[in-house]
Amino acid sequence: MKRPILIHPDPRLKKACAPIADVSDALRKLADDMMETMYAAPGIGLAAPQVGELSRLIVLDCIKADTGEEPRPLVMFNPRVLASSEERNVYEEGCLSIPDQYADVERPSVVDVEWIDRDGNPRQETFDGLWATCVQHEIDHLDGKLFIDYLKPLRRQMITRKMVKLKKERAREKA
Amino acid sequence: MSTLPILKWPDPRLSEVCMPVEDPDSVAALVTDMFETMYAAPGRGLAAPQVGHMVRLFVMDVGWKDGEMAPLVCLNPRLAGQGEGHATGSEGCLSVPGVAATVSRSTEITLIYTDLSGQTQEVTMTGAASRVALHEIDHLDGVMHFDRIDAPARAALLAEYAGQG
Repeated sequence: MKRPILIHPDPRLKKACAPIADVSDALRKLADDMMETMYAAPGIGLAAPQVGELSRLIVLDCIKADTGEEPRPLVMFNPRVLASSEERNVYEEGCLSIPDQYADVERPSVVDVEWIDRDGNPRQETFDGLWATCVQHEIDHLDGKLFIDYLKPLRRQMITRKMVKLKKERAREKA
Repeated sequence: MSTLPILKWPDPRLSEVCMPVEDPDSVAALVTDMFETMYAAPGRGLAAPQVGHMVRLFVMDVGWKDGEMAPLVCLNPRLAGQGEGHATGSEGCLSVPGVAATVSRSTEITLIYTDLSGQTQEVTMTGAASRVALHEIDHLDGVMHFDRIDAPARAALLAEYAGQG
């Protein structure tokens, strides 16, 4: 079942999320809902706080839909960056909680990440390219951090004002 | 038990988004006071931010004015579904006393929430109950009933409200 995606500014997007003690059926259902929401958006990553759940859970799939490549949906409970490369990479990032706004963000280009998968098993993998940027962007969400927090204050404020306006418009349209 | 002061528009807290309730036990006393406040007002629904508590919780009782008490308390409510049908109706708000907004709302909703014992519940509501619940959920997102009407109607409502002095 698709979940509504919170739009910035929202205090739930600024809060550090709690670690998950056990991968329960309820959390698996949340992960499945998030995956459905992400694909429908469409997006390549989604963090639990973006649907209002303050738990350390992200989903991602950076395979582009139109390339004919097999999809690779990843569910990560308690994801953690173990090591990052000195080499850095710039990607133009966007965020489903900040629709239609994009900006260059520099991050480590390769990261080792550990997490618990959907079946409760510990996993570890090295990510590079778009996957590295995406997984870091999503893990940032679990610490209450957005990609616009890497931008200059003026640019960030401009984007935030646009989002406040967008939320008001959506409230009226929904009525 | 005590009644709580109800915040009146334009208190800025009425425009803020509220945080989830983490521990149902921590809001048990607040819920008791909110019911007392709602029945005394008198009203059919009350959201925590209306009494200055910025958490995602509301109380409602859509039947009590007709003699059938049906108290309901919803923590961390979220809409799991909305029917296609809409109806337009007049809505008052305890935080904007003396004026009413004519708002279109879904006539059938499915609501998932946590009850005071911490259990997840799912309920389908129709008609007046659906309208009250949607109005209260909006409060948790800092949205007022007049945010859901067009600009001229909103301006007229706020002018009438201000004119009451």
